[in-house]
Amino acid sequence: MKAIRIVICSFVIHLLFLTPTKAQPQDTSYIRLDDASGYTPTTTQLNSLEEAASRLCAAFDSAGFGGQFKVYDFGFYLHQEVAEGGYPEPFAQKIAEVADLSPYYLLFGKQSDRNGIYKKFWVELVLPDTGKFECLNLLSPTLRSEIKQKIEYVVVNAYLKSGSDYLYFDVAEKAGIDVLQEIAVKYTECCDLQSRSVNSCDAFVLPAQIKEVTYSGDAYIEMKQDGNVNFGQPFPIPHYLDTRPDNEQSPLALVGGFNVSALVKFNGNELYETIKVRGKGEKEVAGITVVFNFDEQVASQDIMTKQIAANLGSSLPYMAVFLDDLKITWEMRVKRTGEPEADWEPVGESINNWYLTLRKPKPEGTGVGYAHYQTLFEIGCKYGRGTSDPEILNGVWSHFKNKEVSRSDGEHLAYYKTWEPDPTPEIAWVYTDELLKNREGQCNAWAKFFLDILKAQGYSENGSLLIVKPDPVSQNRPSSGFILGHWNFLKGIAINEDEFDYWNLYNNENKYSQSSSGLWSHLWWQNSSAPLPQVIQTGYIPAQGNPNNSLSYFGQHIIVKIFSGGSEKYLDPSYGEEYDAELSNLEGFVAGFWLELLDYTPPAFINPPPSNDFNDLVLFRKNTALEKLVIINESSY
Amino acid sequence: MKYILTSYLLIIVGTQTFAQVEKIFIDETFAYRVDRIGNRKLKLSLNSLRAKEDTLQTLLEVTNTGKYDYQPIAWHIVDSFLYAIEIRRLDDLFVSVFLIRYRIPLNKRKDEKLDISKMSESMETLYYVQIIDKFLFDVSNNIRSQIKEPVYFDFIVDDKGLITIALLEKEKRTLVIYTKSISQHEIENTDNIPVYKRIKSWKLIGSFACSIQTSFRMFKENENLYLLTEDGNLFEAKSAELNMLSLRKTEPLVLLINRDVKQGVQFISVDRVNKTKNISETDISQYAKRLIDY
Repeated sequence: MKAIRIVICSFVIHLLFLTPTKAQPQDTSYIRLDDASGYTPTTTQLNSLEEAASRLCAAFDSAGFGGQFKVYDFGFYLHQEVAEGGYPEPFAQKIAEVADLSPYYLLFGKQSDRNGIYKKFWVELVLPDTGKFECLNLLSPTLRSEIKQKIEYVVVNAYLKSGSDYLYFDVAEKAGIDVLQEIAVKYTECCDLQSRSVNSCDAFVLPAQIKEVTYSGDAYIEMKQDGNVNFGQPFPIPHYLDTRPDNEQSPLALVGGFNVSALVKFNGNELYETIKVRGKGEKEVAGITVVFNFDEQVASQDIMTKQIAANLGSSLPYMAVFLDDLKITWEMRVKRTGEPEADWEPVGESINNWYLTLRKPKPEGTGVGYAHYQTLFEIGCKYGRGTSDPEILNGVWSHFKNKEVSRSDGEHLAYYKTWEPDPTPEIAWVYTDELLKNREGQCNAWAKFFLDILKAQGYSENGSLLIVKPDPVSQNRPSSGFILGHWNFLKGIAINEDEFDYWNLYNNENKYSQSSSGLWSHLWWQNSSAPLPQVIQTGYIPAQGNPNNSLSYFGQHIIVKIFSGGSEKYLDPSYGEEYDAELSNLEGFVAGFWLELLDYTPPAFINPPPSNDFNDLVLFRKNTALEKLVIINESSY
Repeated sequence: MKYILTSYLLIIVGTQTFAQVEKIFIDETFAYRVDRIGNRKLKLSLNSLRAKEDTLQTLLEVTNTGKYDYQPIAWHIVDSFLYAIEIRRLDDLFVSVFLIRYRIPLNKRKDEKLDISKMSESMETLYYVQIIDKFLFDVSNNIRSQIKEPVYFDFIVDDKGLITIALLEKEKRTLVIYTKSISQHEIENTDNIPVYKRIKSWKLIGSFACSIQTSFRMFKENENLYLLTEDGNLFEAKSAELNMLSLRKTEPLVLLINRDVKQGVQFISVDRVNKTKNISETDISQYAKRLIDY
């Protein structure tokens, strides 16, 4: 019987002190919504939070918003990382639900994920914009977001100080509630013209706001724009400017493993005796968290403008990586005259796209189309992410194999989409810059482009451009070039030319035509007596950005040779194909070989005779494997 | 003798219309020269040095297409062979270069009339002239936009089968000279050496800074290499320098090259020949020698 009493007492005690409370009265200030973490707070925790929330709500009640402000708490499990720049989907949904419950609120979102329970805090705050809160907008257009920023900062830091242990989530939330209560009281006084005090209307909840950030240092690479505007121009400095939209901030490229300097400027809200600044950013990429710590430095302040400037430095991880929308959170610790040094406070975030290269890029080449264009870093750092040459090479090449290579602005790049530019350009689309500008290029440009991507990563091995032609010594009458893909060879009347069984007539001044749908084709003379043409293209080899209409009639082709892990690789960036040293798989794409003879006098049996324009002859022979494709030139690049 | 002069005059009048330095090969019987016909033929003319009206002509195929079609056809005669450089267009930017060879028929008897009408059938593509191909590729590939300054070249083949090629790149104002023996090509074919590695068997025998701005003809005499430019200047490639030699009369000049390569090259001025109607063959030779002031 005694034992039973002990059990009953224990149960009662547990109910009173340990067992989480599930039901909450409707008039509570702190309202728990669902929590997917499985953790249930203790009554002690909830009581503490309710007390703090009651004080906060009372501040709103007394300001004329009785019962209209509540504090909500929500826990959710995140299966996938949230896209940059927004709330996670469950939290965003909850915001919408809470808005229906209460017009004004402070909502905490506790994110659990594969890393554990409550790994991240989210905060949403909606304050009244009438009555005693109306003047917030007049004091400063950014004041509301700064208040929210401060609450977030306080919550996150309080949680960090508690060891980011979910058992102490209440400490973080209570800290945020308390700070908001102080702010609410302060501004209701300020907006009340009757009881306004001087100190309540400083309009600042933070010591300063970020204005701009300029990065520099030995690791800094002056990257060039390569979109439709300002082609070849460096990106604007400062890299971050508070007046620019986030998607227009300048990206920056740096050599991994070195240090970067940041000159950070802030708009100070008042004059301070001493100022310290620090910054931190982190980004998870493929399971690796890349961290940037800009260690604290003493800042200087202009006493006239109150502008604060600090030079800070951070080490960079040794790897090639692209950090999309990397945010650096800047913090400031100030000491006001006659007061002790304040705690660290948030003073804004800068956001930029960061490209870290494996090594220092090879210098830009004058006159050869290679400059430090953004696309080179975009592809090299994004797809070649890693810490070694083979990782970069394999990553970049895997991307090329998909045949969907794009410029940094997302515009697709193509191989020989236009067979005959109109008007014929001065330049021949054989350089990287021409490929990027025109969004298409010849094999020469694609080969250089691929090697330029590696150059921008400081790839340790030199690459080579290989010129591939029909073997100039294999036949009595060497051909001048070859045709790729699928071609029909129609047997007709042959002409007396060694080793060439087929022929077409064409006009060398006007070789191609373009259909209304934009597709190109050869313009051959048509005649039923020979018949002509005897060789007609019927299919294509899928090429970069051009799966079914790339020019397939070449005198030569340029591919790339590169060393990797002690072995040679023969890569064809134009087609995203890899070959063996004998090019046998490239030869598999060859349908035949050609030899052009200009100003040819057509045979008399062609009736009616071709017009004068069609007096150029091209001879063909099928690829019978007797004629080889060979590398006739190798030049370092 | 007057037939010879008549032949020369005919040749020279024709030459002036091309506004480029000509080379004419002579042997005991004929003066050999070529005219370019369109961009894929050359006309070989054999002007008899003995019979007044005896001129033989035949059309031979030597393709010269693509962006270098301003280049005069490079040709040379050694023994019974006529060599020429063929340039085939590949695309708007690049070409392929081959050495082709025709066999000039020989008379079996002195009184037999020479027939060159079937000479075109003897054409063979001797080999791929990789050094010119690479040079032109590098020029096209390394200079922005299309080439504005021309590239000129000429070649000779000596009796031992050594081919010597001079390439002038105006853009860089440099002239390079390479050699390789024809037999070396045959060995490479037999040994199955990859084509791209054969470039190493071309021997660079000189690289010269120069101010030559025109097309030129190259010739060799006493183991020295000379360049005669279209504007009548004569240069000697010696050691590391290209020395300009002064000529007493310079414009225009014709190179007389004896098919017997052991004999010297002669120059003759059109102007002087026009005024001198009755000089002897020896005088021509002496006169030509005196034109070179060295």
